[in-house]
Amino acid sequence: MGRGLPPRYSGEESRRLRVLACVVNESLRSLKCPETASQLAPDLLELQKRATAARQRGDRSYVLRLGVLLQTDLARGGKTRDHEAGFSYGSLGFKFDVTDGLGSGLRQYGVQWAIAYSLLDQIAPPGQPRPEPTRDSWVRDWFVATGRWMQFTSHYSMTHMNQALRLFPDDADVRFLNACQHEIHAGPVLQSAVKSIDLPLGTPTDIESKKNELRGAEIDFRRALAIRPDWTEAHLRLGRVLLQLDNATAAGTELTAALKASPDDTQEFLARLFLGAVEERRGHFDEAASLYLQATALFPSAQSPRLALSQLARRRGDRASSLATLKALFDRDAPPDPEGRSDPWWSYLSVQARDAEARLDALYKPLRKEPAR
Amino acid sequence: MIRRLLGTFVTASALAAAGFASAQDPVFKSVLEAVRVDALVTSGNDLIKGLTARDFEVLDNGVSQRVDLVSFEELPLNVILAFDMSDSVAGERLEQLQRASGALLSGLRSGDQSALITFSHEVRLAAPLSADVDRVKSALGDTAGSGGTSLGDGVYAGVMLGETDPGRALVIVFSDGVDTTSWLTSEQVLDTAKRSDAVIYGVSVRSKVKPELLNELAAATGGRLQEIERIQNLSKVFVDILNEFRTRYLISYTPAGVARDGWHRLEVRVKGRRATVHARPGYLAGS
Repeated sequence: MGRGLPPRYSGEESRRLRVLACVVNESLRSLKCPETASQLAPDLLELQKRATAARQRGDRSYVLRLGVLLQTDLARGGKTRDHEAGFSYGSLGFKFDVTDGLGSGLRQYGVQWAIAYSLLDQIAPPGQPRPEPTRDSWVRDWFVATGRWMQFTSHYSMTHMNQALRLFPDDADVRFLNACQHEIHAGPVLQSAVKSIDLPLGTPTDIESKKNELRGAEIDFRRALAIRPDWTEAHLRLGRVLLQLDNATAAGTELTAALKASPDDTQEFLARLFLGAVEERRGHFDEAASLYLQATALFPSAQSPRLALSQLARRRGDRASSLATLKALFDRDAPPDPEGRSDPWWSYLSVQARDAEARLDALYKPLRKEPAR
Repeated sequence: MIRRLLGTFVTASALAAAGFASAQDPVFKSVLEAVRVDALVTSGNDLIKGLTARDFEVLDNGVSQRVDLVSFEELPLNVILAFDMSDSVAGERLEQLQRASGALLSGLRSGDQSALITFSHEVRLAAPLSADVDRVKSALGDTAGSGGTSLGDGVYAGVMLGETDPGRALVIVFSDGVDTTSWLTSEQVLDTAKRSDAVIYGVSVRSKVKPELLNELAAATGGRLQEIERIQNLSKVFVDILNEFRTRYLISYTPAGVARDGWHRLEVRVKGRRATVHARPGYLAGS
């Protein structure tokens, strides 16, 4: 839908839209409605039945939720290639495409997200007569699921995160997601991409300096942990952010907390890798080497801890050990890995969103309940 | 820079970690702790040839050193190609890269060796260091562009590969993007380069983002960064780099009157005549 080009609907489309509005408002009996229930087309009749059933269960926002999911599906339609990314550009409705760390195009940002935000603002929580999206857990789940999908597929948007924070400023998941977004902004892909694009002087982008983004990430991870103190992944990521902010002592505390909190293999690998870097920064080389070895034991094909070990040995003057470690890296029995699955470091900036698809699926569940026949 | 081999008997298990080929019988090398500096000497646009040890003045942290050895076009070369094989290289760039590498490899002489490191997010030793040029050519033919860019990790591997053999290491790094997936930081890669003898020449496709790491690596090792406008010029760029490297002097001296560890500032001059010396600005000792 281009700017300045109002949508043009055919007569039949306009009529169906009016009927749909009547279904949403339970106002089919109104004189303003072009059809009565008995005249409805089969699909609209089915929708009317489902909306009625949902209303009987206490949810007056069934059709609105469906509309949100429809817009979500449309917005998600275009998949970028691996190692490509896009990020929104202020609030002007444009989005940059990024390939290999360089800006590669500019296009209009999907209007579907904006429509979805408008619909979400009208959602009433179950049992409530008036719109109050801040008290609706489905709305919260929608923001978390779609936000994670954006991070997993590199369709970044601070507009989206700002909408989520507007409605759920004290939600741990939303804070965590926003912290991860800052972390992504601080990363090399977007820091480089924003430098590669010609913008009119003074034009704001959503991406600040690396240091500011890291500080933003620290604040939001801390807020998430204040709400949910035993969150392994938040400790892990806060630890890495603090390491990048040259606060090795605090980073060590967070990463140790992550290791004590029963991390899964990927989280443990990353925590040991990052803690190794912390110890290296502190000059504790034996401890660093030990941590890198532990990370290697968890993911024997991973490249990053072996490079870390080799470089550490070289730094310590042990060239033979450094070379032997590098040789072991090249000799390891690992097939080419175009998808980057063998080393969790490569997917660090998206792994927090690994359950995005499952969360999106879960949004449909309450809407799939069959009406009584 | 510096090959610090004093008292270090390098077994071929280390040296055959060397080239990262399979281990051969142990070969023992005993080399005095010497500092090696690759230097290009010019006057205007002309190379100055025929200089001897007595023509050079070397200051190590400001202390004049006795130059022991100067060789010119004598030692064989170890040419290590470290190539970006990320998404952005796929297509015409890859074809040009393969063609340019072929031209460069054709310029190698008897005794020279070559190797190929490729990096996307993953760093791979596509062809170990050897005199078998066809092996590198064949490996180049098998390459394909995909994935992210671990530029720092790839350069690190290239520099270390240069340490597996006592020959003069020339590391030619080609990248058309920015580092997006390396584990090693720029500081760590630079630290390694400053401890190594390898000279790094960076070749990058010009864009709005300056290839800062490649620039720093080239400056720190006495090499050069070349940003090209058109990928079609790559063959000439590669061949020019090889020819330029061959004409460099290899100056050697045993440091005296200076600390054994830490950063050593280097100044290399030609006595008694106007000349520009292009060499690394220093080295990290203690490794």
